[in-house]
Amino acid sequence: MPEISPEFTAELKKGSVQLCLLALLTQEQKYGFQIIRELRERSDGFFDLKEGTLYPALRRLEERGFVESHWVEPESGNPRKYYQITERGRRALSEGRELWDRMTAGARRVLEASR
Amino acid sequence: MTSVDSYLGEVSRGLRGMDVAVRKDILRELRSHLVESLAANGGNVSAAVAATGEPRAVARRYRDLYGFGVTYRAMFVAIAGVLAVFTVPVLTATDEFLFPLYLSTPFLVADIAFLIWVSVVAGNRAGLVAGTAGCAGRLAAFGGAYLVSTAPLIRFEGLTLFALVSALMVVIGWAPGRARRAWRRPSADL
Repeated sequence: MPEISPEFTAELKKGSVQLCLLALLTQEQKYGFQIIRELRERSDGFFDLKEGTLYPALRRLEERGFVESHWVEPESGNPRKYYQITERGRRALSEGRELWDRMTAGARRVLEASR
Repeated sequence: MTSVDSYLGEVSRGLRGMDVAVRKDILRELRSHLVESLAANGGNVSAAVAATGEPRAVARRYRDLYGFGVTYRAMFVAIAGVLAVFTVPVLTATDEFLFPLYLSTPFLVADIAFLIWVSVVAGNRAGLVAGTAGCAGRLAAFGGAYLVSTAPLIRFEGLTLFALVSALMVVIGWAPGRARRAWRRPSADL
């Protein structure tokens, strides 16, 4: 059993996953399953979350006006809901990234001193 | 596909009372997800379903986000308000009970229980609105009884109690939901 609580790990993930979702959408629109896969691969498995929790997270971003979504229905095959980042989402991402950089740099300086 | 359908059915039950369009869209997206997941893992339904997560837990996240739809919220308000009308005991000037205390008390208990339930499952804002409806229902009952009685007699203690219980409706609608929000532990994943 690890000493740190599962809630601590959960809070770390919770605080960073939304930024990562926005970051994944900066280049092109993507659908849920694609986002899940990329998030897992690029984070080296850190964001190996229950897939069903990702969709509410995306919708939360949508409610905030940070992403937009639309259905793409091919003639044959699976209909997919695509998400794309909005201008507000881009601003939120850049603010969030700045905050993230300050936090990680600050925490690293403190933590490194204790090695 | 039976297992996918039963999974979605379980999620759907957890989304009961949500706006119909939102609920449909959620289920459609989850179905689309499961189809992709099945294609990626060679058709293993139980693996796809397990990776998606416990259906009730998934539904709860959507509920946290969207709450209840307009229809259900209106229904909560209507039920709280109508029950509240019968929570007011009415005494006529001749000291004969029109609607005696032993009849009004069960309604009071029922309305309070209902308000607590609304507050917990639908959140403190929906609870506050339902509680306000309860308060309004009591005021309406009081006003109605006052108007129809030929010689209304209002005692100070009675009026104070009436005002207190009416105000309590609003508080009971709001407080449990607020407390639940404040005390709930952060969810363990995501």
